[in-house]
Amino acid sequence: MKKKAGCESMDLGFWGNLKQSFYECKRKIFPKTRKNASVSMKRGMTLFSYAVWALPIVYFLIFYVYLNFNSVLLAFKDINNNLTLENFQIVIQEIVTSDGEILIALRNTSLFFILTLLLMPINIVVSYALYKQVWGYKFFEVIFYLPSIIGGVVWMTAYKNFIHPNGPLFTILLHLNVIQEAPELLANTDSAIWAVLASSLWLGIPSSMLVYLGTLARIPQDVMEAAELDGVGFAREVVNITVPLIWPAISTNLLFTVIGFFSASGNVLLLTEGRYNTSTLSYWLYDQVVVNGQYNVPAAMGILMTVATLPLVVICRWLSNKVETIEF
Amino acid sequence: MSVRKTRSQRIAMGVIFGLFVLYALTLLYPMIWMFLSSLKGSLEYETGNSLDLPKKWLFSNYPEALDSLVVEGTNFLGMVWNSVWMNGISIVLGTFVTAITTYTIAKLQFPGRRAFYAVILFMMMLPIYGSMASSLQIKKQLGIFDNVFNVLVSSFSVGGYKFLVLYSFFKSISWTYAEAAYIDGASHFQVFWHVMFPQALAPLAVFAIQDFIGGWNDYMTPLIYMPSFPTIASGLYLYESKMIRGMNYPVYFAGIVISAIPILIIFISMRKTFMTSLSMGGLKG
Repeated sequence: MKKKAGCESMDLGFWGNLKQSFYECKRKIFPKTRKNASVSMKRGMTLFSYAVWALPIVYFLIFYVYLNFNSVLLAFKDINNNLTLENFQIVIQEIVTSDGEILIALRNTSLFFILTLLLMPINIVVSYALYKQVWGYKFFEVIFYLPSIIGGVVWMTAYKNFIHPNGPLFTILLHLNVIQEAPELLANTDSAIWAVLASSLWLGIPSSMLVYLGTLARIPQDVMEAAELDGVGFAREVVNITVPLIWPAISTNLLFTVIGFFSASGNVLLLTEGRYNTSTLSYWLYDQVVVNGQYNVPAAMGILMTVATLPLVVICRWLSNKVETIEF
Repeated sequence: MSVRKTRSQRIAMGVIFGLFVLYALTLLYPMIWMFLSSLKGSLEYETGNSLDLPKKWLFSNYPEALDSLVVEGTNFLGMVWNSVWMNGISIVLGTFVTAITTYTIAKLQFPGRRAFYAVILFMMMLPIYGSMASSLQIKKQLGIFDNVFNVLVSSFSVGGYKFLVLYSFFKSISWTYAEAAYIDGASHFQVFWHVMFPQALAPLAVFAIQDFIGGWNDYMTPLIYMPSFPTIASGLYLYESKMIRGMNYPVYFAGIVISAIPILIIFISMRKTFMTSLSMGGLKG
């Protein structure tokens, strides 16, 4: 038996009936004028929006506005809450003296930043080859996605023990007589930072794969086919067609890499805990605040880093407005 | 593609295929090696040849990992539970908050809407360093450090790439259904909950999965803000960091392998959804 919507014989159950009669009562007390949709649409829109935003705004006021204000206060105060410039002096001293903790961290941060830049063309080539359906691409897509989904603790435990003097890497190298003695790569001032960098290189080869593949998948097929029919070579196709077409993705990646210069880091905590001159700026901040419970000097350092980033942001904005993007 | 490949193109693809095989091996072999080592005896691992297969396959290392990997009074299952409830709260609450706030900016008219958008973009463009100290101090003062409130409060942060993706997603949804609902007398919340939210389920599900994987693997946040609640990632790191001497490596490896299993199951069973995120992750200028 079909029932008409809104028919009184409709069985709504106990709660449904209660709700229905509640609505009817409400209707009688506040008769609805259904002139047009826009009236009821606009009614209370501001109120609703601000109700939705109330808690996020409170969060923003405390954990962005006040938090950064408090950072500045911390930077200019000592442990006893007296105003001082000492924190900045300590930071600058650690930068100008050779073997200063911050100087080493700055050097390592630059190395990680350079590595990220060097990885970008590799990331693009990897994605491009998968897009071009290199033999077995479905299998590679799954395997290359593993570094992004399996956790750093898992990878670094494997890495650390794999390159341990008793681990498989040196067992093989010793067996082949490539080396005579297995070094402790991660427990040596000369090699530790390179071993940490190598771990980032290892897992970073397919990074941003999803972003690039997604962008490549949107290139209209006819563009590629037309190019191939015209007999455009492999290299020219990449340089003159593919790269310009996926430039928005590349430039966005580049932009966030450059303005995030000071946050460049690797698996320092998991591999060395900053020992053997492997600290980076982000690790140094973590170490000072969480391990040493020291708030003032890191706050001062943070302000210097943020201020140094400002020109980068301005330059990047200017550059990204300069370069034309192709719409497709 | 029907167009035949040129000779140089085929050579290039051949070289790349070879390199891909090598690279895939460097990813897979250490993992397989760690799994095999997790089946060895402790002494056998320390003194034997690391390339050998286990003499006796000690699957008992796995139940032992559940018992003996204890950090600050939390055992392995406790760490798993911490990962689950922390991620559960922040995913459910965070997804809801992000969805409804982004919806109001994308679809509703209210004074200050543009300012909200501008502030969120500004926050994305300017990285602020060294705020961890200030953040810890404020959280300690407010009493939301190292307890459940930290997870709850953090869910109210709106912004980042999720905001941008959802914003353009809501912008692209037709307003017709919402208008019809308004004519039928629906409230603003009803329109969001019954009309808009169901349409946004696909991208929200992708975010939820990404958040779960990110949260499961994140050792930093729990280490900094929830030190008494070691999660599976921060707990395993802490265990190893505190037990340099006399650690039973195979049992620890067993714990590591177990910790990766849920992620692998999610990944394998939801590959389709990941491929959706593939087209969503694409950026367009």
